[in-house]
Amino acid sequence: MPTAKEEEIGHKGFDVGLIARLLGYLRPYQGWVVLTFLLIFVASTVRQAGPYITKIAVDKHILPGIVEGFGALVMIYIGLLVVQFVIGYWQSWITNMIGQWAMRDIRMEIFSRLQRLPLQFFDRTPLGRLMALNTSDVDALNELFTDGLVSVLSDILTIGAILAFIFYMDVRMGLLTSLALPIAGAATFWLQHKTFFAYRVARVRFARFAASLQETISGIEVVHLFSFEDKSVGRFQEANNSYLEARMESTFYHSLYYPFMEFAGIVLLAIVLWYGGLQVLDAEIEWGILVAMLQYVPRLFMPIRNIADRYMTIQVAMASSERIFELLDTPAEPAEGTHRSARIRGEIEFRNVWFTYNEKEDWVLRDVSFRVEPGESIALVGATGSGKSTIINLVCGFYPIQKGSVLVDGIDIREWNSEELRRRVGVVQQDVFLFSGDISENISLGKETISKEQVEQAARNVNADRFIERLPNRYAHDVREQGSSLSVGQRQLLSFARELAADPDVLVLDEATASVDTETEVWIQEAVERLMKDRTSIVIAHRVSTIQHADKILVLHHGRVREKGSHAELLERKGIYFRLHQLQYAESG
Amino acid sequence: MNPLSPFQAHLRPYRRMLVWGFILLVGAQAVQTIIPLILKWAIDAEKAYLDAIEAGLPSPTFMLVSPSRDLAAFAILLAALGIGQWFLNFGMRWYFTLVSRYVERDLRTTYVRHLVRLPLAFFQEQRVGDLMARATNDVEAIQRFFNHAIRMSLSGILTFVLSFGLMCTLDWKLAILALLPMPVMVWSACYMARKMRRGYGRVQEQFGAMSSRIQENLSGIRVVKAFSLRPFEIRRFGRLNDEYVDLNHHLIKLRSLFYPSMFLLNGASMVVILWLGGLRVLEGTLSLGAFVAFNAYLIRMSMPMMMLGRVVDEYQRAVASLGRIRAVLREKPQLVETMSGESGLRGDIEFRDVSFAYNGRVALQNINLRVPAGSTLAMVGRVGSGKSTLARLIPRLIQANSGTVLIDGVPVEELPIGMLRGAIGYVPQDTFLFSDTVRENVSLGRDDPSGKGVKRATDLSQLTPDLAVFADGLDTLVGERGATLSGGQKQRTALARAVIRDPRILILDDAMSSVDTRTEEAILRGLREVMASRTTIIISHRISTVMRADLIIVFEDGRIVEQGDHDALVARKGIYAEMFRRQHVAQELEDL
Repeated sequence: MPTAKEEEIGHKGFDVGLIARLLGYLRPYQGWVVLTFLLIFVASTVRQAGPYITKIAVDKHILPGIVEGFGALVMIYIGLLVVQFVIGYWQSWITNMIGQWAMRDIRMEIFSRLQRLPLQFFDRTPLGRLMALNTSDVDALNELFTDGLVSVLSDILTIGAILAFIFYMDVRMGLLTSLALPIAGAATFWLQHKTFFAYRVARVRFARFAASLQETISGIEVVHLFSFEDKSVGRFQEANNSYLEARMESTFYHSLYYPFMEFAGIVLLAIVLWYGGLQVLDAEIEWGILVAMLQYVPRLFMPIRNIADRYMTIQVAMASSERIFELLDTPAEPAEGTHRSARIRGEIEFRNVWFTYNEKEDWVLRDVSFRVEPGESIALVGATGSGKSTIINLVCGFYPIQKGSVLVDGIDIREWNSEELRRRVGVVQQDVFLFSGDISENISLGKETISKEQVEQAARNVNADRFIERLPNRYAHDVREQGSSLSVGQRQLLSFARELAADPDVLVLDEATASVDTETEVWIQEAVERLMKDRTSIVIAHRVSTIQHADKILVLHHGRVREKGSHAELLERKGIYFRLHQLQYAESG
Repeated sequence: MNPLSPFQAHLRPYRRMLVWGFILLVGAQAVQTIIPLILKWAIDAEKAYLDAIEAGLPSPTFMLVSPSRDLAAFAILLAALGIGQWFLNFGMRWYFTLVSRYVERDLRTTYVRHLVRLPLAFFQEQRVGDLMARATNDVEAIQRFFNHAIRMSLSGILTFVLSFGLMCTLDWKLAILALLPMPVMVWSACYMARKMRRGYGRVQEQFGAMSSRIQENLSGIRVVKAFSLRPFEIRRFGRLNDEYVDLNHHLIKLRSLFYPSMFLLNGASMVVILWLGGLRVLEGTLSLGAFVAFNAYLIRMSMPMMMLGRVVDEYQRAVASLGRIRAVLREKPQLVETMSGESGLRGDIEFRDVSFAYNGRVALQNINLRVPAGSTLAMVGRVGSGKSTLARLIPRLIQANSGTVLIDGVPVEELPIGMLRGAIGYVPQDTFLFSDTVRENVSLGRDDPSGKGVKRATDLSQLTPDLAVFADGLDTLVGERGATLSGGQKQRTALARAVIRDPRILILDDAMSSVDTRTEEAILRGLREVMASRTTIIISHRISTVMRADLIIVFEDGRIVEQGDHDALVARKGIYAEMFRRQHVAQELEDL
């Protein structure tokens, strides 16, 4: 839900730069665009031929009483109707498809862009806003392409075609009718001027009452506890009424404008009747012209009104395209390095790393240095907030570091192609994210390169098969959204299988703290050992067994490495590790 | 059957306006129907004059002296009718839109007023977005119907009836022939609208699938990055995206047929007039003016016929939307009577054999516990062990499946809920602040003109020192749901909100987790004084918070596993003693 403030800034009106950039999305379909322009041109012209044919019929056949050739003229009229039908159909079809194609491309570009944005972006942008961008904003653009721009073009061409026919019949009539345009234009401009602000106010107020309602619903517990029901309804009513007021203002101008346009049409009809009638009396023009004119006048005002209607569509789309382009212009993850490697040896080194998640100097890591040799395992130990998870985030290059360097196989992480690197570094996170789909898809993660056998093999190796075999559809079991049907322990085993199937060279493991039943606990311990075997591993360890099996233990405290060494060495030192061990692991170990 | 009957109750207060709107609409339509007739009169008069001159006959009589003056008179009459129509149409539109906006507002207010009184259990089953959509999208669909569809259908029907009637007076055979394509037009407009709606439904489904795909991808973006799934994800999304375009393609084929075929059918009527009408003029059985009038009527009639499909569509949507709103209005509200003044409750709480299960998961099992008025109870235990559930039973936020919760010996269900809640100050685990000022959030609409109550409450909750730093003090806006406040400040604001009520029972559900220990101690010291004669229930993970309570209970899996005061529990060397030891060590570590 955008806030009132955002809405207000969002609407700037017509922006040429934006339009130019939007039109850029039509370039791949320029052939179609040219064709649709031609068709619109032909369709608008043919559609206005009717009254002109009536003129010929009146002057050449009806009034002189010549039946001969009248039938042929009617056939031409019918022929034009058919042409108009066919062209109208194709024009609408092509226009809409161009819109669809352009939208598909924009959606794809947004999606691809999102995949490349750094995690910090997702940390600070609410999901709801990104979803709105993908749905309502893209939709507004679609309206612009298929309805807004094309309709305006077609309306302008229609006005042009009508005037062209009138001028062709009689120049003075043409000049007379042209007078209507500035008047209608002025009225339309006046309406926009009057309602522009009213609309904006209404939108802001709408956002306000929607926000107030959303708050009341989200905070319904507090509302009930503090008997705030009546008061909150009162607040809502106030917002609701002020929205109504803002709406009434634009309603007033609309109620004035549309009937005015009808009035203007009737006045023009009166003038044409009077002036045309006089011309006929003086035998300056033939009857047919007057008859045709009386048909053209009502047709002239329709497209003008339509343009006024489209103005809103265009405005909304402008605001949407601004938001979309803002996303597309968000810088992707910092410059991709070019270094690639089929396999990595697994030597990882932190050299005087300083890191903070925000721009302020709230250092989460302070001058951290350590080194893991290929095949070695290291356990990170420390209280919550000591910086363990941050180290994991940095090994994968999820966040850029401020000072110092992280090296993988002796090469600075910034020089690595981050996707290649991540493919070789496997991360198991504490809370396991499951995608909708079945077990098998959640292990292979949709990679076609991983066969069904490999999936099952991976599951067997980490003991995940033990619960999978018990599921009703085994590997085809649907995990549902957010995996609510699997227990925490089962989800962990599943994520181990997922990791093993990807076969990384370096394993980064954040051991889950959540308690699981004893049977699952044994399976998990076994699985962790198997995962760490023959791989460089960095583990945030909570299990005594995991820590004791590690080659090296790193004790972090307030973002600094305070102690380093093996389990026995560290216990002997009687320092932080000793205290931590007493504190957390004593009773279980 | 009256198609408006589902909306009758909402329209009743505005019946007069609707009647006025309808009268003006009839007037405007009548004027509109006369206009082609004036064209006919003007042209026929002039034609008769010219024909007479050509034939050398005496010129026919004129209303005014000359044909040119007659012409001017007709033109002026036309313009005058135009002005009349402007006013009629203005009033008509204004009344109909006004009614639609009033109905919109009323529906929304009725909905919200009902919604806030529904029991919490209702909200647990609903998504916020869905409840919001009813107050926004659904109400708007109904508004659109009232404003647009009613106006369009009424004027459409009138235009048709009046125009057809007048055309019949001119030449009934030609009128019927010319209007032959009209039923086809109406039928095909409705048919296509229905088919398009179905196609639209499928497109929406696919759109939903695409949206969930994006949502899932973004929620799992860490996994996507960790496994370098970008190419796979893009390919997967690309497939859905393409399918969406394909489905749209079908819809577009149908939609592209709509207007061209409407124009074609309308054109067919024009052909009938041109051909048959032309021949009649040629034979002299129809006047040229009537020929012009026929053409003018046809142009007027075609628009409402084309709109018919849209009107039917809007009607169906409005009925469906009203159904969704009614579904909420049918839910039974919790009876809330507002009580003012002293509740007279002492604050003695007792749980008798209380059990509670949520979605089949047992949260509390046979709890028996008494908290005498004026004493302090503390609860500790793991997340999900049942502490909060027990606390939430007291103000009847939830109701026990079995057993009884008694206050002063009376089951809570028998106490007026307004009185019960008025006597309780509850600080929930998740702090919820409204996007308003600190003052509003603390007083929550209570009358406190002197500001003394707020001052006392912020003093007690140690919020006053922070307020001094804020630009506008108590009148500082807290941002969206308190976004500009720190976690500790939010919690202390929520605490102030509870203590300003001077409650008989104060419940702190892990309410100071983000407050530092030193401030917490100061708060507790202040509370002990004020709450000396009142009942206090504290849930916390911090031993320092609970150690002074009269009774401490330890929860595990919905059961009380240990109880006693601090010393007794430490001596027992059980779960509490282990917690105490750990926190002691942790404190030591912190001080390293």
